[in-house]
Amino acid sequence: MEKESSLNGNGVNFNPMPKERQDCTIELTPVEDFGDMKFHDMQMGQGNKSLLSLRQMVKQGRPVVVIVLPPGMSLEHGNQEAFNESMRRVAEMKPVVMWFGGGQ
Amino acid sequence: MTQHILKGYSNFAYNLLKGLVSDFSDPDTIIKAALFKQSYVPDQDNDKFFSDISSHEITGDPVLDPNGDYPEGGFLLGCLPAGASVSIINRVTTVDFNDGTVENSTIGAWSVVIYDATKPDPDDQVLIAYSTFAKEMASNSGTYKIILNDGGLFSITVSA
Repeated sequence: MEKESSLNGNGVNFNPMPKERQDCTIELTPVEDFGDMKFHDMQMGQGNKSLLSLRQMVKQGRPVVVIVLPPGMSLEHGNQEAFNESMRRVAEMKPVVMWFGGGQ
Repeated sequence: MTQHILKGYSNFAYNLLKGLVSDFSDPDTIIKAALFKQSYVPDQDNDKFFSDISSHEITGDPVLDPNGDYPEGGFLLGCLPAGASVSIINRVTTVDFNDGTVENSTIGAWSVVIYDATKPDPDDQVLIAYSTFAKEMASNSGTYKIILNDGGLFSITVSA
């Protein structure tokens, strides 16, 4: 009887070589681009009403002075004396003066 | 270890403010990290819900690892205990979740997507962020782990 070859595959099961175990770790960095939360500037003060009044005063021939105060500063204007004192303080600070309008 | 940068989906903030995202401080909130095939090319502006992308999700190999392969829907990340998933310090609000791990897995992926899986319908599951990999990230009968580094998932800073 011919012996079965041990190499012809009959009756021989070759177990597949087990693959090496491989772990996988994914480290994620935070989202970069959700960005800052920005709030738009809010309109304070009289708003449009003041602008209308300014326009009317200029039309009437009255110069309009707009004073932009630095943070933390306020002006007293309850009476003429307080207002004058406020203007004196402003003048002492040597404000930058800009103007427009006028002409013919 | 290579770190993979997460990018936010454009509509996440929109859906968040519309009330479509779960409370991240609630321990019942389900946050998942799903893995995707190379066929998935993230559309940052138009991918909004999990149903938009689910057809590209990977599957584990049920032949080699029937008990430990990839869970459909992705890894559970889970909220941190005691509502700590959402915190605020010095005008910076940070969102963070637990890491996700699957043992004894044979899976490979080309991208990962973090999303709010709390609602049962994929049409309602809001996409949060994604990261694509330069090469396939694969395991073989091993541990597959997704971790968020110390910076968390994302933060929002309010300007002074």
